[in-house]
Amino acid sequence: MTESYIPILGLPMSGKTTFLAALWHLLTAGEIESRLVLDKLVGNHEHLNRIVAAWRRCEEMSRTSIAEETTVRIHAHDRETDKKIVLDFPDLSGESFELQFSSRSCTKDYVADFAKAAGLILFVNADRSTDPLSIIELQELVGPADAPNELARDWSANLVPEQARVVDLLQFLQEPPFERRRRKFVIAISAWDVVQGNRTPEQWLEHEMPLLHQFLKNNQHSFELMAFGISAQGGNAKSERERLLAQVPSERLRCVGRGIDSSDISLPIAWLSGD
Amino acid sequence: MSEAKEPFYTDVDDENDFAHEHEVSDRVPLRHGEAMTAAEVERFLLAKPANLVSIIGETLSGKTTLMAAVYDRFLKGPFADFTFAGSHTIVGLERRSHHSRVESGYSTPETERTSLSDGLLYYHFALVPTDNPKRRLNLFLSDRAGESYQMARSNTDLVKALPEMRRSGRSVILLDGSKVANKIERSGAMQNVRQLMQAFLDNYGFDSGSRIQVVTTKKDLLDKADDAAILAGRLSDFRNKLESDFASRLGELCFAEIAARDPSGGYPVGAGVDELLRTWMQSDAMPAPAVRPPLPLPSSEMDRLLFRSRLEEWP
Repeated sequence: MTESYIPILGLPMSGKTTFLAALWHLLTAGEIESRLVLDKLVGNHEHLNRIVAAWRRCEEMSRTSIAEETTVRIHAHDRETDKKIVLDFPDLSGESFELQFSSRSCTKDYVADFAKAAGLILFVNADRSTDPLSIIELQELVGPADAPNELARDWSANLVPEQARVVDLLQFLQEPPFERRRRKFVIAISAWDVVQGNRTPEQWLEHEMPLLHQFLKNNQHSFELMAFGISAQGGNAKSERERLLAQVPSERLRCVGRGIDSSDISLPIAWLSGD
Repeated sequence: MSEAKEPFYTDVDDENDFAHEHEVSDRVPLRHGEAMTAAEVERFLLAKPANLVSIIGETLSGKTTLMAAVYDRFLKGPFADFTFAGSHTIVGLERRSHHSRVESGYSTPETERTSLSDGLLYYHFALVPTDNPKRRLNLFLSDRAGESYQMARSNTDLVKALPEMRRSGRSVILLDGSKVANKIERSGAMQNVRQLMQAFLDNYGFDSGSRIQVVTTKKDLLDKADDAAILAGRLSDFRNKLESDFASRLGELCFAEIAARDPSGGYPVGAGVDELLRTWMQSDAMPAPAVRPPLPLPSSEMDRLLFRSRLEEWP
């Protein structure tokens, strides 16, 4: 049996917990055929059951706080390879990931966990505000401003664009105290249902997070990349709740990536835990 | 053990909010991400080659704006035939870009001034040429308070305290376009650049190997000057005179104009900066190889083994 520890990273509200809840539903409900199959129900699933209950009611997920951080363990096997896998997912709060950037430090456990990680999955949310505009870009849109600089505020880490923070957080993994090696790396673009047109996840990344896209392309010695678009709720939990509730829960899921368009959101995990 | 083996760790900042609220002992410090000191750059050079470019200019001439413009362009995608591969100074670059962003609350783009007490700092870019994705190049741009250069121009004994020109493969001297566009300030701004060059040449800041770019910033303001035609003539005369008086004492002397951030939006962000970046990335901007400081003789066989190992193999 292989044990796969898969860190799930992402800044606050990037869709990590919604994904975990949806994955737990997919594996336990058996509504559709998925690549990963639940093997046995053992251990403490209190956290998973709590988040999946909210997910099934199509409620918006609350933020995972640092105090609520927990590791969930799922016993599964790969339907194609028949390989038995124990998946360990730490439901890390976005704040703890954010704190790494602002405090320039991480926990000793985080370093130790990466030593045993099979790969990692990083969430970014497609339903997000744009990166900070430059004043020049704003002036091109609305014309020159004559307002005085009276609203000026000091720099702080939370004003840094998400893509720059993510690049820096990934750079941490390329040097001590982290082990230097190539890691399987899934970038999961959550809320994929809001993405218009026929863009692939990689095209979305190139257009919406160009700094991160360039970084990942140029650091393939550290990150073996697969980009997926994931809709783990199936739509907007507020405005489309009635429509979502009318569907079979597993059928409202969507996973898009390199030739894949499926409801099976276990595919990225199967790739990460594969040889 | 060898310094080169250690990453550029810093202790968690005492003033950091986190440090006050949490038990720091449970945390492992990571790279600070701020602008790097000269010592940190020298340690970097022990492991990897890099192109060093010193950006020289008096107060408000646009030094930091130039650096922030390079970073801003990579935030939007590939720039000047290069793609972004990383930076050890993302936090520093973000700080420098803050005042040009809407979030800062400013209504016109500004750049935080470099403080005299900061001394010499460097910003780092790891870049990959679009036509050669396997090649990875490192670039360091120097940043120092403009007052330091003003003081060295007035008191040439201070030139020796500015090692960045001698260390760099290329130096950029900035001529403040806002002063050139202003009839009252014009002559002073040009003569200050001339005097700065002379001071550096006569006091071993520059020599016959130095490659100098005299770059006029804020070219959007030159276009809008009341006497734009006269100004163009004065600028041309100024450059010709620099060339006739100094070029023979230098390895290279060339001129450029940029509009790193045109507040009126007439020029795109980083106009002219692409050409500068291409020259900075040429191999002749490479500094002299780093000199490894003498190391103490290892006492144990294990330490000797480490000394025989390659300390940095990754790009």
